[in-house]
Amino acid sequence: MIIIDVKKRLNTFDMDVDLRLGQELTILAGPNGSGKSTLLKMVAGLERPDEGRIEVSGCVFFDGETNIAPEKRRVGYISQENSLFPWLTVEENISFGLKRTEKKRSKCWLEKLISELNLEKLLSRSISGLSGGEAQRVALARALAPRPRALLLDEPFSSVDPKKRPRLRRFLKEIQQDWDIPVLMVTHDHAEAYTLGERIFELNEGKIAEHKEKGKIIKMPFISY
Amino acid sequence: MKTFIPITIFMFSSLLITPSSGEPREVLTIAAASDAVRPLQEIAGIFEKNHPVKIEIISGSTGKLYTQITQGAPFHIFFAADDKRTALLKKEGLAEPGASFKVTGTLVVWTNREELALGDKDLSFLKDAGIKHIAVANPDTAPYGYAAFEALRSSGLMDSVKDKLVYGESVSHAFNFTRTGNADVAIVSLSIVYGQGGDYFIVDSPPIIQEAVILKNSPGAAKTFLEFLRGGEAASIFSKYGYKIPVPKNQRSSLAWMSGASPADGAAL
Amino acid sequence: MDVRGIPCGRSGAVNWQPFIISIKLASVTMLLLLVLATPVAYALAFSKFRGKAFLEALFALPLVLPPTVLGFFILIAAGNLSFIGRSYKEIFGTTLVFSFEGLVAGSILYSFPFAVSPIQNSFEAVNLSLLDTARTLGCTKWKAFWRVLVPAGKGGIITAAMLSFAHTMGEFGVVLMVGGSIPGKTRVASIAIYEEVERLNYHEAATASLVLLGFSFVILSAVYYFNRKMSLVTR
Repeated sequence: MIIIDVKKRLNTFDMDVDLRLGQELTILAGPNGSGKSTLLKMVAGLERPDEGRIEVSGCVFFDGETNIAPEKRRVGYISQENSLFPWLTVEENISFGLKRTEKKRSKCWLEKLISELNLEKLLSRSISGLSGGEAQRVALARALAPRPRALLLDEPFSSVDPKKRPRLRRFLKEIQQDWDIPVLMVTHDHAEAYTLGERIFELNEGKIAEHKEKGKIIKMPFISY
Repeated sequence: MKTFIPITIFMFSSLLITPSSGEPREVLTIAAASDAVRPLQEIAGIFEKNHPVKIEIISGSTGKLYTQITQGAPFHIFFAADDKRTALLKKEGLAEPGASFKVTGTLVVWTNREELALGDKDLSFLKDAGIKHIAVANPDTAPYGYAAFEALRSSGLMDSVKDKLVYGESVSHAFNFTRTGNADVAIVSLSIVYGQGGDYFIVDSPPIIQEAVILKNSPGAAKTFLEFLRGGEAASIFSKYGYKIPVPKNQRSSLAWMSGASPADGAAL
Repeated sequence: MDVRGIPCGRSGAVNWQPFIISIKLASVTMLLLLVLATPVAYALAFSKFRGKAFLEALFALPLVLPPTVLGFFILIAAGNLSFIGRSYKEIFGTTLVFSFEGLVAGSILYSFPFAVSPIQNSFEAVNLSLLDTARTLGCTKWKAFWRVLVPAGKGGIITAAMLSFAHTMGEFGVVLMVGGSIPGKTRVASIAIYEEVERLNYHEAATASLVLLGFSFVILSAVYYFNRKMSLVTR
């Protein structure tokens, strides 16, 4: 369960959002500059709301008195730009978030993760030679390796070849269901939103404009942008 | 790049446009060893009043100035702190042979630390543990530095004070080290410390004979100036700064020469 | 007596000693500069505050000051009559001026902008999302600095190190004012060469100059080589 109840004054508008998300894959859609990335960063701890409350799986990340540092929040975050560490190999990237003591204990989990994402053959490769799809799979593995409470994705597939996207979406869906982890994903892609999202929130100028649930499409379709 | 070139040209050409100041004066350039700069400035001031000449004094260590002259530096008069380099210039045809001007300089140990009571001491005081740094001019390029070195060597003090020595480029550089309080004492020329306060004692050393020569391709004013140096006004300025002027041959008695008296004293002897 | 019959005070041409001192000075300065300049570069790259431009100009000042002016300033501000100089003497028993340590202090000031600039530039070039991601993967700001910023900015750090080293090797004006040219302690290669020229030992001076030139050329080639290599990696 994720509670995001925040207000923040931004450059061109004021953000005011109140969301409750379950253990499911939720889509956050909306035009450019509507504050989607900012909202995600607030949950990750990389930006700070002016007021409100953020809670993930019962853990209070932010409220009137607390503001937990991002490194302590244990949420996976994949930014819009490819941010794999180019000086490390694929394997080193994936285990970046694990402490030395954890590395031994998590060996089983890591192996499962790597095989689910089909990364066995890429482990010792350097980042520079990877295709867009491969890079995003590595990013996913890296974000999931420390077994986060939730997963935050900012347009993760936008730089991937459209033909490869369905496969990646399948991976994501499977992982979300197998590991029962709440996922909040920002996307532009209609097809993606509809195939993946059990719930879709549309953000416009910092406020929730539309709210759709699968099977209960009330309005048709989004404002096209 | 397009605007860069015209701007640069503009900047450089504006440097060449210098405002004119009254009647055009001939410029006489004197390359002076650091010790002689102040007396020469005073003498030049008087000279300029009566002659249509502007005197520019360039200072440095004798060695550096000598090197520059051998490489073609456009000086007219070279006032060295020795007579060896000037002799070389004459031999090499870079200075006018014959007519020249000589003085004898004085080596002193100076400090601005009054508590050392330097006035009553002599060279052996330099061994004292309270003296951490002794500033001298570079002995290879400054005759006063060499004289200091020789004085330390001949009095057997070199080994004990060797590690305390710090070297300046010239006597003025060495003097600066001491004046800013970084070196405890300086072994320099009396002319440098004159009027600067502090305390000093004179070092017993072989005479430091300094010679001024006219360099090749100099204007006639150079000869006039050298003559002026031989005159009474210049003489009193030089002795004020601690220089001894050798009495000219036709006026001296051997006694006057040995005591280094100035021409004015010749009559008294 | 030297070649021309002019008496010489000190013996010895340019032997290895001045070079050893120069290399020692450049190495110590380089290491200390990396330690001092990195936090400054970090602050300049990542903080926004009023007057930041003035602070940047202040740190860049040694670039435009004539080295002799800088040296003279140190002589006055840190010499034996100053508070800094006297405190130093109290604590360490020796003077700051005329010592190797004094040269290090002067060199640090003199080469400071050469260290800050490349590091600051490479920090600024690091994609912020790299740092963000590292934080979400459990890195504190301090850890993120070592595990992400330093490897990502390695090119700049190496450039800073090599530039400070090379710049200090060629330092002259500051050393002239503050060093006292003491053989074995503060008579560095550049000063020794200068003195040889003044003693008319042109052959010695030329040889020593070529050595210094060759050495600096090797260092600079290494800088440019590494720079290429680094930029290929992070692309």
